[in-house]
Parts: sequence; structure tokens; C-alpha cells
Amino acid sequence: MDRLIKICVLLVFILGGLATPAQAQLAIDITKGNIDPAPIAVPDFISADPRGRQIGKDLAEVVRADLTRSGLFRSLDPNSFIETQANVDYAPTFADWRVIKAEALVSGRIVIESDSRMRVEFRLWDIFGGEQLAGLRLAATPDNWRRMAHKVSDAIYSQLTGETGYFDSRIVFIDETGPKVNRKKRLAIMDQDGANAQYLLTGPSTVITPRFSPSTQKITYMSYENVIPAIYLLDIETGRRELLGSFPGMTFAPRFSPDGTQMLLTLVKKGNSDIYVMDLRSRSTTQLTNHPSIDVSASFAPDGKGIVFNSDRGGKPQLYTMRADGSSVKRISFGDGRYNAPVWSPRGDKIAFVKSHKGKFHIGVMNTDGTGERMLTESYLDEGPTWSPNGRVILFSRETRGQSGKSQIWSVDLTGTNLQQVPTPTAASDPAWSPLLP
Amino acid sequence: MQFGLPISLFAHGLLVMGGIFMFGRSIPALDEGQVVAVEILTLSELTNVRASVKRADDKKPEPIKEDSPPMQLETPMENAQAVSDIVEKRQDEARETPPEPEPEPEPEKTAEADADVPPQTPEPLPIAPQPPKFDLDALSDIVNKTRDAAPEKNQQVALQSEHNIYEFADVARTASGEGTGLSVSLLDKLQTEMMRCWRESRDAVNPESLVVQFRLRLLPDGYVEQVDLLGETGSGPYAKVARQRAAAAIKKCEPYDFLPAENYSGWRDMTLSFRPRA
Repeated sequence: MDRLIKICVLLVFILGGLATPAQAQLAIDITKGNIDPAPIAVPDFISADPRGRQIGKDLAEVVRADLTRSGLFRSLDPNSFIETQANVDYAPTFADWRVIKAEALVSGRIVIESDSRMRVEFRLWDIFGGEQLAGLRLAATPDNWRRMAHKVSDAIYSQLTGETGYFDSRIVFIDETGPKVNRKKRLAIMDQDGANAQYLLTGPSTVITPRFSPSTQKITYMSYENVIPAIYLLDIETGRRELLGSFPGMTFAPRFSPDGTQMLLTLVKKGNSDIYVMDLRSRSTTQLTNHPSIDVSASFAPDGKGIVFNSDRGGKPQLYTMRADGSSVKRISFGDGRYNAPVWSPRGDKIAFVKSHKGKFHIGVMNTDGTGERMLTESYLDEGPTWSPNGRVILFSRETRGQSGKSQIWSVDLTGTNLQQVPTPTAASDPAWSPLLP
Repeated sequence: MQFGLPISLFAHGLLVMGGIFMFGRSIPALDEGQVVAVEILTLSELTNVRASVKRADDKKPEPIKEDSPPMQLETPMENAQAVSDIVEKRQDEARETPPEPEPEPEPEKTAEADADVPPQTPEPLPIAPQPPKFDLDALSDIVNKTRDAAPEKNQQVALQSEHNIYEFADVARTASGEGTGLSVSLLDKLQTEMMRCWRESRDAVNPESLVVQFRLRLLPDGYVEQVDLLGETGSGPYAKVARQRAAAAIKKCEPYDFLPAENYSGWRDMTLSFRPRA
């Protein structure tokens, strides 16, 4: 028996020695890489049907725009493509795509099955790896091709970055018309790329601070239809509107909990503003802060265990965190200027905020413990940050100076280098980003 | 006290004037600086150097003078003899050409001497040596015997022939090591190329935790022979993308023909660690 064990041990050592590769002589550490947008080729999706060909062309155009707008990709000009694929079921000629320096290729087709049903199929190829990274088939009505395009973009983004996409999502915002002194504010919604904008409420009404539920297609907002401001809950899918409550005194900035069952809001009682949490089922409110200072703009962490808010208890508005039950209050910002409107990232690693300092407004981010503060923007007036579903992009409203100045929606990514205006039909403010559509 | 300031000013002024008078002309001007070129050498540049062979003199061939007469054949072609004739003629000439040495005077033979010396048989006339017959089997035997006798020599020959690369320099030098090390500038070049090809995972959460290590073996022409994943940290979709990007970078940088061929044994086998920064 002992002999058998010895033989086994010997064999293990011998085989282990054989399996271990010889030590390489040269060891190189690469610590810095290319962060330029990755070149990607998205030819028009092919189709045997003339209607499908037009949809394939439009769909590819939307995918190219989505990827380019993310700042992580650069869609190559279709005129530069060497290979024209007639069948997407075969591997492409990788050398032809390497010539134009494409790193990834999306080849797809549209199959019109009937007037009310369309199939979108595509494959994502790694040009230098010479392999297929993803293959997906989606079905929808032909009229819904735009959402299909966003879903294709999300799938590509997810495969090439490792994080979920954000293209198949929507933005609710305040549509603004009229002069500054008599401005009409209406609740509106659009796709994240600015397409399909429409009003959510009929008739004129003054609404502010719309906020999306992180988990459902519902929004909450404040309305000044009556003298007393009221908080409403609106189901976007059904159009059903529900009054959550009218509160005497001022009420500010309702915001959902991650699971959508609670809402944080600021209530002003006896001249003192504190943060409360409302249970949306029982409609009962619980006070979380109790301080003579102004406590406002509370936002839940994505795990629901923490809250970040803004308070001037230190002399001027700064950012604080606390547990969900209101305990363990801790100041996290210590810089010059005034900090406002903090929002916890859906990824959980950052907090976005507005900082005003020396007459300038900034959208900034910091780690949840207050370290790593960075300013992403600077302008006359930037406010109201809201995170994309994947926590990579921030939308905010930017107002230009002067009587003719107006507000527009802008986006910036975490690097601060990809600053873009989001197209809206008219002036717009107070954006709120939805979660990914189901 | 009221004269303190004027006295101080006067004394300081006197001191400055005196200094100018005393040292104004005595301080020699500095010599013009001489720039000395300094070359920084690494240890491996001294201890890991291959032998070199002195390069042939680069003497340019003298141009043909304009006034030199055109080249002429010694024998006009129409009068040229057949090749076999010429060879035979030369052999005959060779036999005739060397002057025969004068025979030394032979010692006079005595009777005793004749008795001691055995009778000599007449030596056969010298025969011109025949060219050896080409025997492939015999040659093969010799080679085999040599291999059996000194296998380590075979090994050396094989290694030399594998590289078959000779370094020529202005001066011949003896080897000090195998000359396999890459210079700092070449390592920088390799790193720079990899940086260009590698798409860094800076957009990930905690990118510094996504380290991927590959072993890369290259062919002498710089193309990839084999890539093996040695290890990676992290898990989930970010780690998968980090691995994809590192593998793509290795392929994208191909061929590695910017690495010097004479150092092939130094870069044929390397470990690449992709370490994103935070």
C-alpha cells in the first residue's frame, strides 16, 4: 500500500512538472493602453424583402449612432467597407476588415415574416480574434424597429465592454415653452437618443422634478395644479395617475427606493426641512433626519442600505451619508463651494452632484466615501444630474445666460470627455433616466 | 544713534568698492564648458554580448579609367582550342616546367657497404593519386561515428545553425554571453506597441483588479507561434472582456518584426501582463 502511495506521489510530481510550462525569459508589464473609441463596422442589415432592406438600413443607422454617442466606439463609414456580405451565416473575411482597422463587425439581416412580425438576426465578430462573440435573434412588429435597434446596440455594448447597455431606455423631462417670466412646463418623455418625444399629460400644468422608479416604468413628480404642491405617481404604460399626497408647507424632490416600494422626500414642518421616507403601500411617512438645518435631496444607494443627502448643518451645503434608518450620519464632502443634488449611481460606486463655486456650476462625481472628487462639466448653470441605467453616463440640464437663455439637456460620461447635447423638440430641463425597458 | 544709518551705508559702500577694486580683475573667466557625451550602459550590454566578426573594408571599387584600353581576349574566339586540348596542354606544360634539381654526387660505394645493405628491390614508379571514390555509405558511417563520439559538439553545431546569424562590427570581439538581452529602448518599443494595440479596461468597475497574463511564443519572423493564458484575476463579464482585449492586443500587434532578429532567443518566449490602472 505504501509503495502504491509512493508511486502515485511520484507520478503526480512528474506529471506536474510536465504540465508546468517552462519559465518564459522575458516578462513585460503593460500598464497603459489605448482608450480611444474602438472602431466598429456596422453594415446595413441585409434583407430579401424591399421593406426589410429599408428597415435594415435605418436600423443599422440607429445602431451606429448609439455606439458612437457612447464615446466608447467609433462607427466606421460604410463607404470604406471592402467586403459586402451576402449571407450573414458565414464568417466574414477578417483580413478585409483588418485593412480598414475595424476591431469588431456586426452583420445582420431582417426577415419580414408577415405584416405584423419581423425578425432581426445579427452576429458580432471579433476581427482580430477571428471569432464570433455573440449571435442574437429578436422578434417584433416592423413598426417597432427602433427599439430593436437599441436592443441590438445594448447587446453589442454588453459584449464589448462587460457592462449592461443603456440604449433601450427612455428619458422623462420637463418640456419648457414661453418666456422666462411666464414659462410653461409640461411633463414629456422620449427615447434616450431624443427620438419619439411626446407629452405624458394632456393640458397645461406646471410640474417639476420627475423621477423614474429604478425598477418599474413609473414616475413620480410634483405638480402645482393647485395651491398646495402635490406628489403624483404616474404609470407610463397605462397612463394611470395616482395622488400620493398633498403636504402642507413645502415639499421637495421625491425619489424612489431601489425596489420601488418606498420614496424619499423632504417635508418642511415648522420652518424646518427634514428628510422623510414614505411607504408607498401604506402611505405612511417616517422621519429620517431631525436637525435644525436644511436637509434635502436624499437619494438611496442601489442596495437600499444607504442614503446620501445634502445639508447645511456644517455652515454651507455639503454632502452627507447615513444608513437607511437615518443613523450614522457622516459628512463626505469637504471642498470649497456648495454641493447640491447628490444622486447615488446604479452601479453603487459613485455619487454625482452639483457643485457651485466662484460663480460656476459643475456636475461632479466622487466615490461614496467622498474621495476621488472630479468635476465633469463647467458652465453658467448645470443642475439636476441623473444616471444612466448602467451608471456610466449622466444627464443634466444646462441653462444659458441672459434673458434669451434657455435650458437644454446634456449628457456626459464618467470620463468627462464625452459631453453632448441631447436633442429635444423645445427647451427642456429636469431629466430623469428610466431603467432599461423590459 | 542718529548717525547710525549713514555710517552703515558708508561702510557697506566702502566694502563693495573695495571688493571691486581688489577682485575685479583677478577673478579669471571660466573656461568654456566642454560637452562630453555620456552613454549610459546597462550591465547586460557588457555581459551579454555576442561575438562579432570584423566587417570587410568598405573600399569602393576603383572606377574604370576612360583612357584605359578596352578588355581584349587573349585568344581570339575563332582560334580558341577545345577545352580538352587546353587541359592536356597545361598538364604537359606542368610536367615540363619545374626545373629538375641537379642530382647530388653519390658517395662512392665500398665493398663493406654493399655487404651491409640488403639488396633493394626496384621501387615501382610513383603513380599519380587517384581521386577517392565517392562512397555515400562510408561517409554516413563517419558522420554517425562522429555523432556518437561527441554528442555535445553536435548540439553546439545545431544551435549555431539554428540562428545562423552573424553580427558584423567595425572591430572583432569575443563573446561575453549569448547576446540575448533586449536593450531598454527595445523594451520600451515593445511596451509602446502593446499599449497601442491594447484596449484598456478603464471603463470597468475596479479596473486595476483585472490583470491578465499571457505567455507568448513568437516565430523568428515576428508572427505568433503560440499564446497561452497563464492567469487572470477577477471574474464575471468585466474579466471576460479584459481577457478578450488582451488576446486581441497580442494578435493586433502581429507581426513583431520591430524586434531585432539577432536577439530572437531573447524575445521568442515572453510573459505579457496586462495591468489596467485605476
